[in-house]
Amino acid sequence: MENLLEVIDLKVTFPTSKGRIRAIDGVNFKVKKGEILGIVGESGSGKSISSLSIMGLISDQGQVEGKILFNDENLLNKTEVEMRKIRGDKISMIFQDPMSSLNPVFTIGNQISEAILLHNKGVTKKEAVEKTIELLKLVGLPSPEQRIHDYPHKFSGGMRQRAMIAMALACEPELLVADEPTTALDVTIQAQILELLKEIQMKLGMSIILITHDLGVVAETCHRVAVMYAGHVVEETDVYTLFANPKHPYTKGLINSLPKLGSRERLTPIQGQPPQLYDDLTGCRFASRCPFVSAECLENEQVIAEVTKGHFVRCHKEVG
Amino acid sequence: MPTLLKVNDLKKYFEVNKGLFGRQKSVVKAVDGINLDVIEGETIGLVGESGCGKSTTGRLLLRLIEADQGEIIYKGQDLRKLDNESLRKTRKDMQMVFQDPYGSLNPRLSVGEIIREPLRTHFNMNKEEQQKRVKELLDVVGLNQRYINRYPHEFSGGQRQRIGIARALALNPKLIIADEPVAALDVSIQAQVLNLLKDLQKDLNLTYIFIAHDLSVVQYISDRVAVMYLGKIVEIANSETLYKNPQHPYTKALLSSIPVPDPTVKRERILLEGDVPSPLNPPSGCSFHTRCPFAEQRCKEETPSLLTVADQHKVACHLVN
Repeated sequence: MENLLEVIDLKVTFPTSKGRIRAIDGVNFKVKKGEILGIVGESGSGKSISSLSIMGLISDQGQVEGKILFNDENLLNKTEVEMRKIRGDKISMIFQDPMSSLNPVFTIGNQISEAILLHNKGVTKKEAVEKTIELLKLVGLPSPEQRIHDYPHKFSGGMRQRAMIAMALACEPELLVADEPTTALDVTIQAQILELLKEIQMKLGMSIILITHDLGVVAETCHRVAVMYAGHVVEETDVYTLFANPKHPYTKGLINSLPKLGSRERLTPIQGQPPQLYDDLTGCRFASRCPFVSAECLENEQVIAEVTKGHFVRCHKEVG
Repeated sequence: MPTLLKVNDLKKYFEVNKGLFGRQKSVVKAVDGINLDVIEGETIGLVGESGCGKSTTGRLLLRLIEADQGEIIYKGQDLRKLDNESLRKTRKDMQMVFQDPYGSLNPRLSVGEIIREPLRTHFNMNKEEQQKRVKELLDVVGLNQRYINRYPHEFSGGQRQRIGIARALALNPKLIIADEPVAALDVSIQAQVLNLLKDLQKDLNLTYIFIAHDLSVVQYISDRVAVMYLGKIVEIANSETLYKNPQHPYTKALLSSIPVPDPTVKRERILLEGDVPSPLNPPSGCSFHTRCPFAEQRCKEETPSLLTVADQHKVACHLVN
């Protein structure tokens, strides 16, 4: 399969009063056409910063280096005007919090048709409204003909997220970036939204980057997974290999930390806490919490390497 | 094992103003007739989705908010009938751990002062004794004694939750009500805190009421689990039974909605239609009938009561009973 998006050696730093924070430090991953890539990691691992870099939404203080190739064009070389055309049209995004990502003073119909009118010259308002109704039907909102006149406060959390998805799909994007799309929702609603995303992905054949902290969500929706820790991708492989044969000690630790339904066996947590990402970090960033740490890990930083076909790991022990 | 806490027909209705200038009054039945026996030394889990009344129940039990009806019987006396002074004394036995480790610690107090506060108000201890006890407590929850003079902002989420637990333990309570204690934490830290809670329970013979929305967490830590929906308990059973043999359609749907971290498992998923109805305007009869795939005419008319189906297993569903 062809690569739709390729992120090469991406680095993002932010200035703080205590020095520069290396939020992302040399991240590589690919998204193939028609695939769902999951990015998992805990708070501060850099998963959201990765997605914001793809969208060109990093604030001015942030320094972005590296390459983000989308259909072989580097998005980091685009001007703001060019990016604006790509955002919402070729790449669109849905956010965690459906409450604050909709504008409370415009109707749902208004907000969705805005995207259609902006990106398609020559579409009339009437056509845009029809398309909006069609989109809302696609995302399974009941009686969309009436609901387009409603304001966001009349929608429940799940319905708002459906509306957000409809908006993101308005221009039939090639890539959808979903940043924790179900974290704010209850489990039964989460199940509905995840089913919807999978269904839409099949129907429209687009690619999705699904960012989440929940390994369960990854296992049920994604084709391939990148695990992030402290600004690095530490492991990348297909979803079956990741759960059957995790290689990086962090991935293993994460899987062991999860309570499993139906089992009350004692959990094995990862000891300690993630490091702070200031400039003076040396060696492997997981070293302070890793049960298999050796002198080598503290001194040299390992680069990510392919251990078996399609399975990338960033660990001295596995790569040798 | 003796019963530590007995809850009979507990109700809490909130009045809300609606309409223009709030002239219309309507009622949210946040907790609508809950019966619960908490046995000494056990962990009982309360699960449900947002708005099901699980947190309100936790607060009612400590009288942090006052119930409208019902009894909360602890050591033979009804907590709702106690005057302020005797309530204050009884509360020593019951402590709470809150969800938000950022919001529940006073940022102006050092860790030592936070943990010392309950000791000051409840025990007649001198400074040295207090200091000694605070250090002991830091030890118990796995925090370094050196941190005693630091302030909450210097700690991570997991460490703050440990401070909150130390504060709750300061008075040697019998019962701890933990309201979503791990929901704000990352998985690797969540596991640390869950293990800590389990160890403390064994060492100090604590009883927990563990409130959470995450069924896999509740199932892991609890001996018994009560599933709540719109202010009512719809099913209560041993943790294992609930997982292996759920009876209520809502419990089944809830269980099947949880994403399992194993891509090889292909499950028959029960997808519920729509959202939880507004508690302002709950459905007639069984409050789950609007989303229940098996609902019959009877479910719309009669409210099912919580009946025993097997040993220690109660369900509120017409189709089961």
